[in-house]
Amino acid sequence: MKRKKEAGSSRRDCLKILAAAAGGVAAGVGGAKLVGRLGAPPSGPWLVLTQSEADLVDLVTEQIIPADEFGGASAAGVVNFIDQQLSGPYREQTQSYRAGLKRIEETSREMFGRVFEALQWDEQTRVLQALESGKASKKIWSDQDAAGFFRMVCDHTMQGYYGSPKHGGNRNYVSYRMMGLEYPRVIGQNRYDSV
Amino acid sequence: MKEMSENRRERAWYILPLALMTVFLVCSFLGGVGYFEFTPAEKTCVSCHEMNGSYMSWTNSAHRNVSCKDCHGGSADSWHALKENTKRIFYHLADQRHDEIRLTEEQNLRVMNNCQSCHAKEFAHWQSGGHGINYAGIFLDEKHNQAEQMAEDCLRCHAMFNENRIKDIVTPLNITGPWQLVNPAMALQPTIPCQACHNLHAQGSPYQRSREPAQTTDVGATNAPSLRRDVLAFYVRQEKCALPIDGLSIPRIVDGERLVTVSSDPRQRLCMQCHAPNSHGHAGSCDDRTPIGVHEGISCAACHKPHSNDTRGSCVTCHPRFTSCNQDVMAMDTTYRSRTSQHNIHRLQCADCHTTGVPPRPASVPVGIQRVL
Amino acid sequence: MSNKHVNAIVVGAGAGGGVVAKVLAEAGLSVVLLERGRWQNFHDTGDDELISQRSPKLTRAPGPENKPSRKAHEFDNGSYGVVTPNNVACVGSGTVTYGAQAWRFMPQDFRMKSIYGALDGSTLDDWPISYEDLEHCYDRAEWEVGVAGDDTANPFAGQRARSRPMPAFPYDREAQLLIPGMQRLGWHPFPIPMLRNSIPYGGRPQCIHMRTCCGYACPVNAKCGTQNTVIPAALATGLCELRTDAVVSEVMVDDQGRASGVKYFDINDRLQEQSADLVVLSASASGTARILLSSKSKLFPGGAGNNNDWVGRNLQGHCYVGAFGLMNEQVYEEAGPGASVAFCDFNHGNPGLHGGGMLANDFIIMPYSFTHQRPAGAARWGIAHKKFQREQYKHFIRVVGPVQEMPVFDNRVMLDPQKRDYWGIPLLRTSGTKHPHDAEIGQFIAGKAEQLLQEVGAKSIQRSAPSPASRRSAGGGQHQAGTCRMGDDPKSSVTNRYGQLHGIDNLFVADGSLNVANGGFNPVLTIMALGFWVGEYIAREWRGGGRFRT
Repeated sequence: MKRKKEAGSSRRDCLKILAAAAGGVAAGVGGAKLVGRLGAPPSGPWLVLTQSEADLVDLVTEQIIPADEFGGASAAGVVNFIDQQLSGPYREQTQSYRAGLKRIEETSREMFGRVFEALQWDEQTRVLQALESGKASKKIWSDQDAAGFFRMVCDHTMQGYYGSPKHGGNRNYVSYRMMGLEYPRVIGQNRYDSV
Repeated sequence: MKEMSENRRERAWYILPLALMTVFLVCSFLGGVGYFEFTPAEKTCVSCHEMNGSYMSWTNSAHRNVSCKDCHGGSADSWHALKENTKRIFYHLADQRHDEIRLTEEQNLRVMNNCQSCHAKEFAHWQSGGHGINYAGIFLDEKHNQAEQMAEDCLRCHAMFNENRIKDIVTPLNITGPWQLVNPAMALQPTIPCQACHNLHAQGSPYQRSREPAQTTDVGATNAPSLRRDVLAFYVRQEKCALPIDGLSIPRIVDGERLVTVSSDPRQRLCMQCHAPNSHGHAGSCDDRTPIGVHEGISCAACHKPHSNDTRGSCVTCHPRFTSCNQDVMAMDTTYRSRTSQHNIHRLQCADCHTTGVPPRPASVPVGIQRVL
Repeated sequence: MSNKHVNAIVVGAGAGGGVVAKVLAEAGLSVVLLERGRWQNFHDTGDDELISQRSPKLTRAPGPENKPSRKAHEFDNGSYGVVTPNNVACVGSGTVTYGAQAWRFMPQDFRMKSIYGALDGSTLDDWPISYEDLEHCYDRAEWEVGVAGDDTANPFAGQRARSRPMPAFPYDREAQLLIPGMQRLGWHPFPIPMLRNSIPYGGRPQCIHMRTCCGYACPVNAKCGTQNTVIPAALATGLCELRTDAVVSEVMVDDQGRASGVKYFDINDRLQEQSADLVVLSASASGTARILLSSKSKLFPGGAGNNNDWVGRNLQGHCYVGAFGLMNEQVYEEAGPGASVAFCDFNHGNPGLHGGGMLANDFIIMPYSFTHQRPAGAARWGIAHKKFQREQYKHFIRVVGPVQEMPVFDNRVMLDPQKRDYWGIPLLRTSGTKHPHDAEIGQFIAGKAEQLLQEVGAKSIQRSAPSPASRRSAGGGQHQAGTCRMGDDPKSSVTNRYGQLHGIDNLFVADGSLNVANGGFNPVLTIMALGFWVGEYIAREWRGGGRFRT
């Protein structure tokens, strides 16, 4: 690596500036994939969802698995899981998500006069309870089953939070830690001579 | 004849534009290669979004003063590099999502070879120790292969960057052999490269060893780097990512019914990913070497040097300071002195030597040694 | 492209077909073994819950990814829809990922009608063969594939010529907790027999006790499937050729009513013809029936062997029932796989009921699947759900078992009249409604699981069994059986006692399709035993004068 020694200090200075400039961004976005899915989940770019859809999914899933001493769906990157799967195995559910998310906003406006993002925690809970129990406005949910949609989002949230981190969720292995499960599971090889 | 010459004339029409086009393509290719080759990678590669993740993590890493090319090589260092990089440009232009780019095993090993330009000593130590073992040493070990059929699980700790199945690495998969590598050229390739335990892009500050001795009265303190650094990370093959030591769990080790005290040294977690007990956590089972008995609670790293795993001379770190019986521990009949000894240093009990009963502790020896190491 | 004529074609490299291939190749027949999947192992699945066969959310069960097999399925509400079946398609098939419980059926399971009499709305019958007939085949399966177990403490087990080749696994923590309860209730606990190495066996290592076992491939090859036992043995003879990515569309039956070979689509979707002296179908209860129904010929216009309309009928699975509860103390341990102790006190002799089922503690349930395990009224989401997940996971205990389903003539596999699959083959379609007796006995057996959990002090006990009031459609999922029933009377069965089709004497079936009744047990060891049973018959006849030779 002689080239390195030839490289003048100007380049190193330049690098330092670059590094400093990028540093702030890097904490959130950078190297997510390389450093073992630790740190905060990336907030975009999204593969399928729009930014506002992603924000809403983030809030809804956090209601489904809220934070306590251990991070909730948001810290676990469940929205990243859902976005990733909507571009793959759950491709067919994309339209359902699009429509359902819009209707959550409408339901929220109808119930409280504000969009979901602007609601208090308990108000958000009540919107989702209305969906779950089928009591949400039939006018808004005319050709979509509110309870079915909520069940699906609920199930996807569980998958994202409790499934393997390689699918985009369970960031920092939060659910395994919470449940006290050894991860990765480590078992030695059989050693017949030493047993 | 006439027709043919007309054809030729017609063809002539295309020659000039074609030649120009060829010259243009060749020039732009060479220009492209030249641009990528002679401009810092921090400007060229990073212009593609695929590189953002790697680049961003690098800018915050302990290796941020080391240029991309120093580890990854230039765009046209070899035919292989040229091919790979050209392919990447095509992927980029075709808008195929390649955000989750990873190095192949071959690329990882190329990067690893560059580690020694700065870490010559560590590299030499690694090569001299057990972890420097190559494919032939691991996969063609007759004693092992006769005892246990190789399986996918082998690749958790050996050749973890190889993305093939075990059957594509060594054959036959049985306990009778004779075994050979599917690709004999891999025989000398390392199976536990630096990246098995080090995440080179992990967040951290460039390390500078202090010239001053540690200013503290803590017996365990040194001016060595902190034990807990993100660069210490185990590559989890199944997840295809490096997991920092803080994220690794410590297996629960039991000696019979008793829960064994395991050192809190975070580096220990790294060792235990492979030097692991059976599923019940029985001390000393399978590959577990967690000390119990007189050495219980001591970290692997207290005796084993980090890269060579050499233990020679390690006893004097603690002895005779912390010995209960004022004997020359290095002369005792243990596996430290002789591999064939009945007394495994990892499981040594007082009663191993004091077969007729352990004498009371001399007054000169402190009680309740803090296992700080 | 023409393929060289061979003695035998075996369709499906699963539990039945793998065994048949070995028996025939060792008897000196040249064999082509066709498998629609390919080689798969731990490399492909790892211990990732979301792509395991137990909860395949992000992928289908192991199989050719880009050309999914689909089926038209009748749902519980009577409507039809196209679904992707959760059945493994790879070399070894379900034996790669199964939980590997290695049950022999009980002698009574072969004589259901004699013991219990007929049941309204059911085609319940006796097998044409007895437990004693099949005993030596069970024995071969246990020794040639590999089973760990010990029947000493099971008074209900049939007679056996010799013990199994490997000692039983020690009981896990759950078992140790349940056993005193079983004993107080007067029941007879014993270790579950397992197709898994309790000691090194067959050149493969002993089990390392993964917590992810059932639904996952083994990382060290300690689970014994056909892919690491009988299929390699068949290939080692040099007489058996395995062709993967081969999707069989039909058996070619000539105008004289003999099978001349099969048509299949190869890895490049090219239609191939392979001729042979005889053909064995081991493609599962739904797959085998579908191939027969697709094999239309002059003498068999409704499909091979289907002139009496019995092919595809009597589709059975198991009515899986049980109960779970929460213990005060921790029952979870990192060492898997979970299922460890069983009892057979309620397989037979239940007053007023036909048959019954074995009960056992369950395999370890992983975190995502656990999110669905909640007592009635518990929160399904929100902070309370999370808290339950965190606090109760290691206290959760579940006792479950497969209860015999009563065969129903109209529960069936048929060809979809319109829909076709990727290769243009008519889609398989399942249809029919389960017998009400299933739910009735399911409730009874689940009650026993509940009783046991109460006895050991579990709280928040939740029973899981179908409600007798609800309509339930025929499945065709795991444990599927019965669609090509064996029998002595051609009018009420598809094959004879040797799996040989009535009317086509060089066409055989060797899988769960043959099961007349499906026992109250996981059926895989019985399917392997049937592989030996059918294979031995063919080999015997072949040696005795080559009557199948064309």
